[in-house]
Amino acid sequence: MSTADVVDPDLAVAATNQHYELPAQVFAAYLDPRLKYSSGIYAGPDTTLAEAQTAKLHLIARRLGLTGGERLLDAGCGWGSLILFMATEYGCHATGVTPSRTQAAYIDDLARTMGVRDRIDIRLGRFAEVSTDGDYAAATMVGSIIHMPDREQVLTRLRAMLARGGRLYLSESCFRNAAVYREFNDRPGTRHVMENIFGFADMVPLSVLVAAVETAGFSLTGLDDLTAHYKRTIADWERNAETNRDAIEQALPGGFEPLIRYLRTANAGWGYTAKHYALTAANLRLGPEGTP
Amino acid sequence: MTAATPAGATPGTVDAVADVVRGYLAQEMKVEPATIADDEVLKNIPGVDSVHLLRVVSRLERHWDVEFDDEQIFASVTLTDLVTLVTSYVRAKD
Repeated sequence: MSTADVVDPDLAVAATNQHYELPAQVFAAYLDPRLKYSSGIYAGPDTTLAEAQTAKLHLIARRLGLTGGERLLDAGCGWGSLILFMATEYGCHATGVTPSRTQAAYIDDLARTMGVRDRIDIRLGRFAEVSTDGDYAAATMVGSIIHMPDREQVLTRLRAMLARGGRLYLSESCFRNAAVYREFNDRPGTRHVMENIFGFADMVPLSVLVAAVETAGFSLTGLDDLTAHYKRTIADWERNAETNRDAIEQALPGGFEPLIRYLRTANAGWGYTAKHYALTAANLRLGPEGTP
Repeated sequence: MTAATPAGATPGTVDAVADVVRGYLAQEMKVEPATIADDEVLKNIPGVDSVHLLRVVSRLERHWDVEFDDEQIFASVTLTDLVTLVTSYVRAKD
């Protein structure tokens, strides 16, 4: 039985929003200035969190083959770091989908401030249900598919929105393999992070995501292991949270301890129980031409 | 031997490895190294959970730039078990 059979996607959205509806000030106290809530890419030992997040966004652009001006769809756009970056740095027309009213309002404000409101399209709601146009050149799911119980339908819908030759970039945290998933998924520590922090999250192994990408009809074109980078990213978040403990407590009284517990739990398992992968795929029957 | 481990034990010896393992465990659990006995069951150290233990294992792997066998990590019950595991890797490396 797949998760989609037992978890109502609407309940998953309601539950997931518990975390992402928290005031942006909480996240501003430990994330980078763009509030990018996913792994950065650390070029060297002195790389800062902000630099790592910028490098990550450029990596995504490279993996998507962006050259400028493309239409891009971000399913699960968080606080809009990716769509705003692609709009400002690559001149993309970017659509972001989020079920969080707080995030949608935040992005709307920021897009105006940055002068790219005309290139940003925000859709409030569940990705599987919101109306969006088709013919996108690129689509991204950065740490969002974990919150969607109906992952095969989501990817099938996403592929239908891509132009022929359109690219998908999908990154996600995964249990290390099927055996670890079976062993750890029901443990109290896992349930705490998945239910109390995120409301709904199903950290399936990469093989399950690959199967879903195949089922949706994509050609899988690449895979990056970003686990080491996520470990450094969360270590930076943890340091920031400790430094800004007062700001966190002010925005969310009693919020500091659970946050630190979540960050430590999440960061302890990398390589032992968890991995973080980014895969790229193309809506192209034969995959890319040219020498790999 | 607990706190009596001499500082600066010859690198690679069981004593030297035990110093480092006990030190990391004590740091992680914010206790004095001397309070962790050789036959201490790791899971019984007050306040410890699997996250603490994984953080310690991760630091040990980084300390010696090795990767322990998964099953052997989870099979380590006492401090001595963990020290024995680490020592075998440290010696294999030299």
